[in-house]
Amino acid sequence: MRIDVSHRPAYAMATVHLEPGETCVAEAGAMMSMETHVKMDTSAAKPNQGMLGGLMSGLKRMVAGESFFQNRFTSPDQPGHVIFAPTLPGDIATYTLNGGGIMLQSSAYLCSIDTVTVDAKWGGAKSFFGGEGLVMLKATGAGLIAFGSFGGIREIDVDGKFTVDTGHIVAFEDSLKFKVGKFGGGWMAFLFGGEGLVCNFTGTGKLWIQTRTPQGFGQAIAPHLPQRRS
Amino acid sequence: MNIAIDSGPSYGLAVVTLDKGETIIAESGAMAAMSTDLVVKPQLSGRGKGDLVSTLQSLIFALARRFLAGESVFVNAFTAKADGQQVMLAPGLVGDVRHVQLAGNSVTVQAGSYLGSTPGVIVGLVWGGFSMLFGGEGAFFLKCRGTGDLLINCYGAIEEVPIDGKYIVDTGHVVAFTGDLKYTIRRPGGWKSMFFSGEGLVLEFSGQGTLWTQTRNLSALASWISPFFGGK
Repeated sequence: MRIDVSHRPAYAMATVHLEPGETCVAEAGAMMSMETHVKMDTSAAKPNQGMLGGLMSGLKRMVAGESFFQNRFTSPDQPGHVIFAPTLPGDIATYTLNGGGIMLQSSAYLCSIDTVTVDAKWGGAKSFFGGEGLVMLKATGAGLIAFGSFGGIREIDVDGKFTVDTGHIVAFEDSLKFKVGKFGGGWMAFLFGGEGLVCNFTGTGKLWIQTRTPQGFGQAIAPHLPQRRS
Repeated sequence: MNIAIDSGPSYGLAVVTLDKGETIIAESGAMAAMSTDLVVKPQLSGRGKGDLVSTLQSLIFALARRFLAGESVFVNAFTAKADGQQVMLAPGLVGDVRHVQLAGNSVTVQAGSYLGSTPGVIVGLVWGGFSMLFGGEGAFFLKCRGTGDLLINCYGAIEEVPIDGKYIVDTGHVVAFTGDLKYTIRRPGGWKSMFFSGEGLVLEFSGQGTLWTQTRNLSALASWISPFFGGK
């Protein structure tokens, strides 16, 4: 499998090239176009998972803010391509898993090869509050995964410590430890700094941030829109 | 200090690299990510000498900036405790970010387009003129003067226009202009075109200087998108 990302950073799309017999899993509704010999199958379950297991997987995905069903694309006997587009305007990044894992902000997941397992992961009380939900996705296994952002994506190599506004996190390698804390480290900056909570990362690993947040955009445009009718 | 702009023009991000002791001041809420050897201090957006009179002055200015120009009362000052510290600044709106250098001159910035500046840049509020009230973009501008770096952002891409003589810009497309430019607000043509051309009011600039315009208009986006929200 190979993924080409084009039209970056404003309206990125991911073209997934499948080798004969390879299967790609994607978020429901993300398919934009595909070759006719590529077969699509919709299911909540992973392969070899029963109905109950499928129901649980689907529910877990829903809790994480993803879709209940997922689509699987296979090109049975010749190479084929599928193109995926995320909902929000923005960028796409790809990553090759190789035994390690990455954590994704819940709405960032776009598609992955079926040798990658994506599971909802309860972040616990130490997790995100900045409108990002308490549940993140954890991808493990081997192979390619693609994820999207609102705005551009910037990859940061963390070696030591780094701080990110919770709303700007897209993904990070799970070799990084994190703790949610107050912006600026004190009450003054927390209350008056206008940033709220931040995520303090420690360790060595890659981190991806998005250069805009849906919340920030909403706040910037809201004063220009009519009052919502209830 | 080094300032680089990433992800432009759609989603510009300012990556500011600071050496020990250097400071960048940023609009409240603009910090996207940062290194950890930095001191963060929220402060009133108009800063004085620190005595009671100037503190009161800056409080009044900060409140005026909040209610008249739609900016925030507080800004954050990031000061590096070690060399090579980074602060990444992102505006809320989609669009580009531009780095403008000031050397004793001034740049007038449309409310909402200020992203950050170095401490040598003094930010004040100026009345844009009565007619600006009808332009839909707010009647106040921010006047930035002094020496240092200024970061501005916009909706859409930024088009820099060198002015020598006269030039006309739609009020909704103005981002910033150098202080030596004069402007008047007027109709783009006759009365008929005021009502039927769809252009509203325009600013006519004169003099020599630089003008920054944005390739999209926020009010136009808002009125296009409003019907989908059940609005007018």
